Parts: sequence; C-alpha cells; structure tokens
Amino acid sequence: MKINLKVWRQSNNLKGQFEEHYIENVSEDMSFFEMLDMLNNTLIEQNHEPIAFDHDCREGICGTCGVVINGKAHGPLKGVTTCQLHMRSFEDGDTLVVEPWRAPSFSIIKDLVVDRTAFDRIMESGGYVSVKTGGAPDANAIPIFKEDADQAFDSATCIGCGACVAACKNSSAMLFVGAKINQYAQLPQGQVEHPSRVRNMVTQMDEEGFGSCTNTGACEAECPKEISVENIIKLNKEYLKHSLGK
Amino acid sequence: MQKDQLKIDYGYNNIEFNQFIEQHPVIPKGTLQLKSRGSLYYWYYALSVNVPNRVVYLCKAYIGKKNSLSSFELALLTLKNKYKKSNKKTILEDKVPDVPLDKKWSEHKFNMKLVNPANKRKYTVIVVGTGLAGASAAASMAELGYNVLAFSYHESPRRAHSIAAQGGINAAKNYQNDGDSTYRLFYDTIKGGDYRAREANVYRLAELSGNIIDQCVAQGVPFAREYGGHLDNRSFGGAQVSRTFYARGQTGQQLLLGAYSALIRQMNLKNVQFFPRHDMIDLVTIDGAAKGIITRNLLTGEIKSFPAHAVILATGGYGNVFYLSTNAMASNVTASWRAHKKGAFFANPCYTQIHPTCIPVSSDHQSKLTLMSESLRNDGRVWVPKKKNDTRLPSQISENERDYYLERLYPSFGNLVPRDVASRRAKEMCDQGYGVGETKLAVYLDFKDVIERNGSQWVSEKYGNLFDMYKQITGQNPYENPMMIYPAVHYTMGGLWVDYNLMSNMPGLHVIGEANFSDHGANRLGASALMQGLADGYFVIPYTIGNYLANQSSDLDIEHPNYAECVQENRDSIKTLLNISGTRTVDDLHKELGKIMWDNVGMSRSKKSLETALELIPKLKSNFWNNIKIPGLNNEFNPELEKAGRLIDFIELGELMALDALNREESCGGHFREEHQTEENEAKRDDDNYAYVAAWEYTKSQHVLHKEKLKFENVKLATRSYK
Amino acid sequence: MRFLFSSIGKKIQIAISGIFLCIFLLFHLGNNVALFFGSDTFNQMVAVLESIKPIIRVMEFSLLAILLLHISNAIYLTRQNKEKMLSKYQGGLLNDASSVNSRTMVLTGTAILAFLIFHLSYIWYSYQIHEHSDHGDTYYSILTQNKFGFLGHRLTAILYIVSIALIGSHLKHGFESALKTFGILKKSKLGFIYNLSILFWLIIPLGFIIIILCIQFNII
Ligand SMILES: Cc1cc2nc3c(=O)[nH]c(=O)nc-3n(C[C@H](O)[C@H](O)[C@H](O)COP(=O)(O)OP(=O)(O)OC[C@H]3O[C@@H](n4cnc5c(N)ncnc54)[C@H](O)[C@@H]3O)c2cc1C
Ligand code: SF4
Ligand code: FES
Repeated sequence: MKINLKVWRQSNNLKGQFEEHYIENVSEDMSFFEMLDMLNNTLIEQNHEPIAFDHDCREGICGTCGVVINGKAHGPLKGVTTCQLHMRSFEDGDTLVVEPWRAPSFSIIKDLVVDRTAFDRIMESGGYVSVKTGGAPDANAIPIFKEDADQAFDSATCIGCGACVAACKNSSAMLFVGAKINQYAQLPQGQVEHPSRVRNMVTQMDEEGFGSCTNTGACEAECPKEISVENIIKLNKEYLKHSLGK
Repeated sequence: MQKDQLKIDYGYNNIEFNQFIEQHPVIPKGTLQLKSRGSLYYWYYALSVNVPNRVVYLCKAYIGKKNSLSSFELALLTLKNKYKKSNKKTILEDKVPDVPLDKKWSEHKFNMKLVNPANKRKYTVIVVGTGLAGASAAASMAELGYNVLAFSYHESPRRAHSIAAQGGINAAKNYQNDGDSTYRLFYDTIKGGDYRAREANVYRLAELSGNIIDQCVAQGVPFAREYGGHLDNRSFGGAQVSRTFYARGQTGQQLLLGAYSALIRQMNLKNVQFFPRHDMIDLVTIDGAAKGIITRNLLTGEIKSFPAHAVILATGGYGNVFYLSTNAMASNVTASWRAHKKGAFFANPCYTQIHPTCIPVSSDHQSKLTLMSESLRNDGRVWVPKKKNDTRLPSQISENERDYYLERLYPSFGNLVPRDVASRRAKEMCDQGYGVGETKLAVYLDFKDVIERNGSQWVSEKYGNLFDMYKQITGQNPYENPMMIYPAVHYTMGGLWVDYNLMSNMPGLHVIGEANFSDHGANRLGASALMQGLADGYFVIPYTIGNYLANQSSDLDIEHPNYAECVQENRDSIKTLLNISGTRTVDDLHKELGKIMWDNVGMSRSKKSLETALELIPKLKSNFWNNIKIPGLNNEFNPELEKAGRLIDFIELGELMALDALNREESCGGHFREEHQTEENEAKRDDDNYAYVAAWEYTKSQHVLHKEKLKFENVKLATRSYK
Repeated sequence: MRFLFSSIGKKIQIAISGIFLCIFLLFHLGNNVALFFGSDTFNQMVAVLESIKPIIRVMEFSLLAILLLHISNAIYLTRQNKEKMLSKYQGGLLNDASSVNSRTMVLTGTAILAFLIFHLSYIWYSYQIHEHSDHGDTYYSILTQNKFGFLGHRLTAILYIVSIALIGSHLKHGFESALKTFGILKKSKLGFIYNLSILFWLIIPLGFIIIILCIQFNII
C-alpha cells in the first residue's frame, strides 16, 4: 500500500504546522503505529526528527494513545483505539490527515502528544472511595445485583484516553466524568461520599476549562470503549439531585 | 593554598595513607583528595576508568562543617570498612522467622519494630513505579502517615502496564466450596513454580490473597458477579479449583483503577506527591544504603536528585529484552538494572515466562505481541492437524484428523496445564511440522464445542472483548474459525533479590511486584502476578518499611555530595550517548537484541545457544556504544533518548540472563535446558545441585554468583506431574 | 444555589427556561386554534384576554425575562465553548453521529430570535395599538390582512413557515436535551416524556403552519 500522510508537527510552544510524507511499502497487516514506527525509523536515518506520538500497551487498554485521523478521533473505526487500528482499514493511496487531540485543557507537548493531566486532577477531586487499606469487610458481605455490577462495569471500562473531549465541539469532559460518577453510583461502596464526589468532580471539571455539554453525542460515537451518553444524563441527574439546597 | 591548609586541619597524613593502601591490596590504586562542593568539604578516593567523561568513585568519605569529628581518620575508616565489607563473603539472609509456616507472618508482624505515628511524617519514602504494586504501596504508606514521593515515566498512574492484565486474580476465598484453602493455593504456587520459590513468601502471599479481594471490592472494583449478587470465579491453569476473580477480560484495568483511586485520594490529601513523566535513571547510595534516586524529567530533560530515607522499586518486568513481548512498549529494566549496578543483587534473571496463548507474529514490522488471556483455555480446546504440513482450512479437517495434544498428553489437567508446559508443547508441535497458518508457527484454539453447547451469546459475554481484539488484530472472526495462537514472552519471574521483608541486600532498597524475584519460582501460575503485586503493595511493604525506618534517624543529609555527583555522572553519560551519532536506530538494535535472545535464550536453551548469545551480546554492546544514533537533544521531550537508555540496560541484562541460564544446569519451569529433559520431553530438575536462588552481584569486571539455598520444610520436592 | 452557575447549572437554566417557552407555545397555539371557529370567536377570545390585561402584562414580562435568561445563558455557554473549540481539526470535525439540529442550535436560535422580533413588531405591536386604529379592523382581520408582516401576505407566510420549521428543529434537540439535562433516561419511568417531545417539535409547529396555510388558501 501507499499512504500519503499529512501529520501535525509542533514542538516547544512554537506554532505547529502540517508536514507531508509519502510512504510506500505499507503492509495491510501493519498497525497504524507500526506504519509510524517505520516512518520514524526512516526519518531518523535521514537525520530528521521522528514524529512524537504517545502509546504504550498497543492493546487498546492503557488509554495512552490517541490521534485524530481525517477528523475522527482514534480513526475511522468504531470502538477501537488508535493503537488497534490496522492499515487494512484504509485504501491504497489514501491521504491521512493526522492531528493531536485538540482542546484547551489538553496542551500539546510535542507533535501528536498532549498533556491530559487535567483528567487526573478531576479524579483527584473525588474519583475514589475513601477506604483505608485493611479496613474492608469480607468481599461477599454485601451482595450486589449482577445488573448493577454489570452497569458499573460498563462505566468503569473508560480508559481515560480523552477522545471524548477531542471529538466534542465544546471540548467537554462530561462523558469521562459521567462514566466515573456512574461506576460509583451503581455500587453500594462509597455511597456516603457520593454527593460530595459529584459536586467536587464537576467543579474541578469546570475549573480545568472543559466546555459544557450540548448533548451532541459526538463523544459516544468516538469513544473507543463505547461508553454511552447515558452516563452524561445520569451525571446531570446526580448533580441536580445532590446540588439542590447546597 | 586553602585546601592544603584544610588537609592539615583535617589531619591528612600522606604516609599513613600510603601505608594503609599497601596493607590493603584489594583497594585499587588511586588518590585520596580533598574536594569541595559549596562550603562543604569531603575526602574522596578516585580512580578514572576508561569510560569517557566518567570517573568512578570507589570511596567517598564525607566531612562537612556539621561534622566536627570528621577528619582524615574518618575517611580512612570508611575506606577500610568499605573494603572490609566487600571482602567479606556476602551471605544472603532471607530473614524468614523460624516458626511454623502458618505462624511466620503474624509472628513476624508482631516482632517488627514500629515507627511512632507522630514521627512517620518525618520519613520520606520514594516509590518508583505506580503500577499495581507501586500505587497500592504508595497509597497504603501515605495512609500510615509517611511522606511519600511517587514516580512514573507514565503521564498518569493509570497507564501502568498492570492495566493490560486480562484474566484475573487468584485468592483462596473458597467461595465456590470446591476445597480451596490457603494451603492449597500455597501448594499450587510452589508446585507451579517448579519448586524454586521461597516457601515463606509464597505462604504469606496465599494468606493475604483473600484480603486483597476484600480491599478491592471496598474500593468499588466491579468484579464479575453471579445472579445471586455474589462474586463469580473462573479456573486458571495449574489449579484444579476455581479461585480466580475477574472483571470480564479487564481485571488488571479494574484493579489498577482501584489502586490508582487509593493513590489519588492520598494525593488529594497531600500525603503523596506524584511526579509523572519522570524516569528514574539512577539510585543514590550513601555508605551502601539506598538514600534517594536520580530522575530525568521526560518533558524537559531536567536531571534531578530526590533524597529519601528509603526507596521502593515497583517498576515491573523486563520481558522487552526480547523486543517482541506482550509487555507494553515502554516496560523496561532500567530502574532495577541501575540499582543492580549500585550493588543490589539480581536474582534468577533467566526465569522467563513464555505465555502459550498469544496472537502469532505476522510480519517483520511487528512491534509487540498481543496476549489472549489464559482464561480462554477454560473453554477453548487446543489442537493441531494429525497430518504434517496440512494446509487445509480448519473447517475441512474432520474431528478424527485433529490432535488435541494437551488433552492427549495430560488427561487430568488437559488444556489447563501450566503455561510453561503448554508453551513448550506448542513449540514442539510446530517444530515437528504440525504448525498451522501461513508461518506454520501457530496452533489452533477452538471454541466450536462451547459455542455449540452454550451459544455464542454466552461466549461473547465471557470473552467478548478478547474475541473482538483478536478480530481487530488478525481480521479473522473467532466465532467462526478457530483462533490461531503461539507462545510469546510474557512475564519475568526473575528480578532484584529480596528478603522476607522485600528488602534487597542493599539496606533501604525495597523491591515489590514483578520487579522482584520472590514468589513465583521458575514459573508463574496465571492470575498470580496481580495477587503478588497487590499483596506486596497493600499488605507487606507498609509493615516491613516501618521495621527498616525504625532503625534510621529521621535526619536526612540532603546536602550529601553523592547526590550532586550522581546527577553529574548521569548528565555526562547522557551527553556521551547523544554524542555517538552513529548510523543504527534504537529500534534497529533492539530488534537485533531481541532476535539473539529469542533464538538463544528463549523457550528452550542449550549450552551451545547460550554460548552463542554470550558471544553475540558483547558485540552488540560495542555496536551500541559506537553506532547508535539518537536524534534531538536532552532538554526536550525525546522518546528516542529514553529508549536508548533503556536499550543499553537490556543489552547488559541479556548478557546476565544468558550467563544465569548457562549456570543453571537443569530444566525447571520457564527455564528449559535441552540437555536436561526426561524421555517424555518434560523438564528435568536437579534438586541436589540447583535448589537455590542465583543472586548475581555486579562488579566492574564480572558478575559474581551468590546462592540462597531454598529450604523446603512443608512441601515435598517432587516431579511436577499434570498427567 | 451556587451550583446554578456551574456548567451543568447553566444548562439547567437554559433547559428550564426553554421548557417554559415551550409551554407558552402550547398556549399560543391553543389560542390560535380559535381562528378555525370563525372571526367572532377569535375576536371575543382576544377581547377576554384584553380584559385581564394586567395579568397578561405580568405574564408577558415574565416570559420576556425567561427568554432573556434563556438567551443570555446560551450566549454565555456558546462563547465559553467557542473558546474551547480552537480551530479543531484540519481534516474537519466529522461526526456523523451528532445530529444536524444539535450542531446548529446557535444558528436556529438566532434565526428564531430575529423572527420573534419580526413577529412581535408587526402582530403584537398592532394588537397593542389596536384601540387607536381603524374601527373596521378586528383582531382577526389584522392578523389575516394581506400586507407585509401579516399572515395574508404570501412572502410573510413563507417567512413564517420557514421560521416555524426552524423552531421545530430547535425544539427537537432543545427539548430532548433539556430532558437529558434533568437526568431523565429514555428507558426510565419518566421516559415517556421523550415521546411527548414530538408534540413540541412536530405537532405544535405543524399546527402553526397549518393555520398559516389555511389563511393563505382562504380556508379560514
Ligand atoms: C498482557 C498481559 C496480561 C496479564 N494478565 C495477567 C493476569 O490475568 N493475571 C495476573 O495475575 N497477571 C497478569 N499479567 C502480569 C501482571 O499484569 C504484571 O506482572 C503486573 O501487573 C506487574 O505489576 P507491577 O506493579 O509490578 O508493574 P507495572 O504495572 O509494570 O508498573 C511499572 C510501573 O513502574 C514505572 N516505571 C518503570 N520503570 C521506571 C523508571 N525507570 N522510572 C520511573 N518509573 C518507572 C512505570 O511507569 C509503571 O508505573 C499480565 C501481563 C501482561 C503483559
Ligand atoms: S469516555 Fe471514552 S473517549 Fe472518553 S476518556 Fe473514557 S474511554 Fe476515552
Ligand atoms: S497504546 Fe494503550 S490504548 Fe493505545
């Protein structure tokens, strides 16, 4: 396969621009990143700076990777992270425009690498159950309906990749926050602090400068873990419920 | 000159010094000098060695204003002590209390010294790595009140490689009432590890396993449940009971998010300071004890020292020495290796686990291998065609033309034999020409029967994400065609040597999780790594660290010159790296190393292959130092520079792995020496001569072997049989 | 009440005000249906409303306040979000999943505001000065006369129909979005309200359009 790559290059707070590369000998079995690896190897050999991109597990689970390909977060496939994207999903001769996540809360570190620590700070504001090591009762002491456990799990599969923010025209982080709130909302553990968790996480989300949700549903469509927008609806409800009178 | 005057003030006596050196032939010839850093003066004994821009210090005796006693005498004394110590034959003390097995941990906990709660804040503990082991340790120690600094090269703790664990986590809860018990889990783990693990550690692990599940559930980890609302279990290889707790195929993710949530809670309370994108590149030792680390900020390139009373490494495994493995791309050995070079012993480096169910390699461009969870062997059946070089599609091969070789060879465990056995048999089948697929390096893992029995809905609920992943990577639908699998490097049982307290031979340096060598012997059973990481982090290190710190003064000499010197050394060596500007890229050389390792130190090893490796690796090493090409600068985000630093450590480790494998003249668990096998091609152990932990000491010229004899007082050494 | 100023709070404000405006539309249509019962009925009904003018005035002002609240919050959030948008992507932001009406809320909203001003400046204003106008005119005839700005006029009618369609589009996303903001799930007990939204985005606008068409074709 031959691929025409238009890729975003940017370093050290300078303004970025696109750079074009024409790549031959791309095999269909390669993953998208293996194609970039190959390109980088050539770039280094030719004394050019390789393209920086974030990745680690390459299994679609760590949430490190993520680029926008032709306007689509994580590329054209549904429910798939960039690292799990294979070149067979493209046609011979395709032009791919590759860009980093763009959102004011995610500053660009270099080329395709962005800073997502805002997510950690949101989590820090309440994304936990306050239980001390060693103080836990027997795991089967509180039965949990399978349905509730399953629903909590569905929300908990969020990998924190930030595609929802990247895909949203408002750069809203509601899907990410909603997923976390909902995981805990479904479970009996940590209910005591649930009201303050909801309020604090939303406040932190606003402080980090994420936009507000206008229910366009772009996040759900681009989320590699197919987290449902229902999580946002439930977040709204929990927030309303636990803010009235505060 | 002022310095000469100072020398006299501090009692420097050249004659005495020379005499001393004469009397101590072990001390290499060098000079004793008085050095200053700021207003502080210290003696140092220095030797330049051939590495460009680098001075290797053999002794540093420190005299500052604070220390009025300090003098030349003190410097001499330090020098003497140092060489006395290095001259003495090191005995590895496992520190296991001498009481019955089931009393050991509780007795030990009771006997450990405690740090007064009011004083805990005065102790700084560094945790390197925030995977399962590191995050849980950092959180638990912060809860106790220690001042914790946590480091990771990832942007967030949630990205650690633990997130990728799929199958599950073991615990002897016996919720299924199928006869499980602490002792059975202990026994299975010892046996699974082919009798090369330390009994006391394993028993403690089994004892603590239940608490882990309690802890995780309380944190909101959504484990799989039955309709009655209670926790569900599945079976894993090497066990005949159902004791594996799971969260679909994402157990590691859910557990890590749990540990991460405990950690950020402590961050929020300001008990933990977390440094993301900081790579630990060196360990600082003062008088032989670990007193801090050197990090490189991956975004800015800043190299900085962080002093601490104790250091805990939780930096994961080193499977990437093979280039292709199921580990995350960035997993590396640097932290452990640099600590090793500072004096920590590396134990059993050759024990590598090759996982039987991975997606086969498809091309040269492959950057990593993907694991298909072992849990698939619960319901999938492994087979190859009975005819050699059969090129027909699997659907065209009828039932009686298929060889379900695991079921045939091991009737009682069937497809659930331990990993080392399953892997080796798959390789054997392929080597004999029964392999399938284009490369002939694969066997089938078939779900036809279970789909017929329970329907594809059921299968998708249990293994959905694994099936999707398989389809995504291979483009094949496993609901219709059997999966093709092949073994791949997955886990490293070896690691830094630790005692019962999880402290290495170097005082103050503790090692937990996959980075240490402790609990899995020569082969790890499935779903035990998560268990070990969390047991170490939540329930062992928070106690044992107190035992160490209770003996330490809470004063921390943050001005000690070793910090600044170590920073300088590392700056220099990075400069050296960047100056090489050869022609080979890091990935290029890494692939080369990987090939050497896989071909010669891989699934089966022989004297010949290991000697080949020991010949090739030094060449590769010099190739690295002469030919590596790293673009960019130090003071920027430079992934190639990160990778280069890691690669050189892998190369050096590779050499030690080969050495260790060569030394171990037996087959056990993941270490299979072709010379040592039974007639049925099973591993043949040599308990008389090799029932020991091989702990390697690093010295400038060579690696020195120390042995920790393994005592088996509670299980009888027997040949493993899964028939 | 500080929460009302968070991002979610602002949306709650927009949602509540929007729902009030929707309810007003329902009344508005109800009144207009009187047109079908002949000019007398319609005139009488308007007269009744006239007779309770103070109450109506209060309601009108509340409505205005609600409208301003709706608009100001919407402007605020949009501006905030615009900042967040940067240039977004070269490759275009391709989201087949998000509906057109969801992405054009600001556009339709602005158009509706313009239309509202137009509508008020002709019809509402004419009604206010009615007492001073020619005695031949009734509320009914003012409304239906063939003069620009009134419903008998062809161009006006087209303008109205287009605008009402835009209102439909705005309400389709707006109403559902409001339910989401209140945290009501489609499959929950209150989920039936989602079906109710059809009343607002389809039936009511359709009602208005039918009335205009009927006036155009002299059916009423
Ligand atoms: C694909 C896969 C599936 C698995 N499935 C299972 C399973 O089902 N059950 C099971 O029990 N086990 C499983 N394992 C094994 C298990 O996941 C790991 O052994 C375990 O998670 C290791 O945890 P850890 O905390 O020791 O290290 P890791 O999770 O690897 O964490 C290492 C941490 O150290 C940091 N670090 C490393 N070096 C440095 C440095 N120099 N400077 C700063 N930070 C550093 C990293 O940033 C990271 O935070 C699986 C492994 C793989 C590869
Ligand atoms: S909700 Fe989906 S898109 Fe957003 S961070 Fe989580 S996994 Fe990524
Ligand atoms: S690299 Fe881990 S999710 Fe893509």
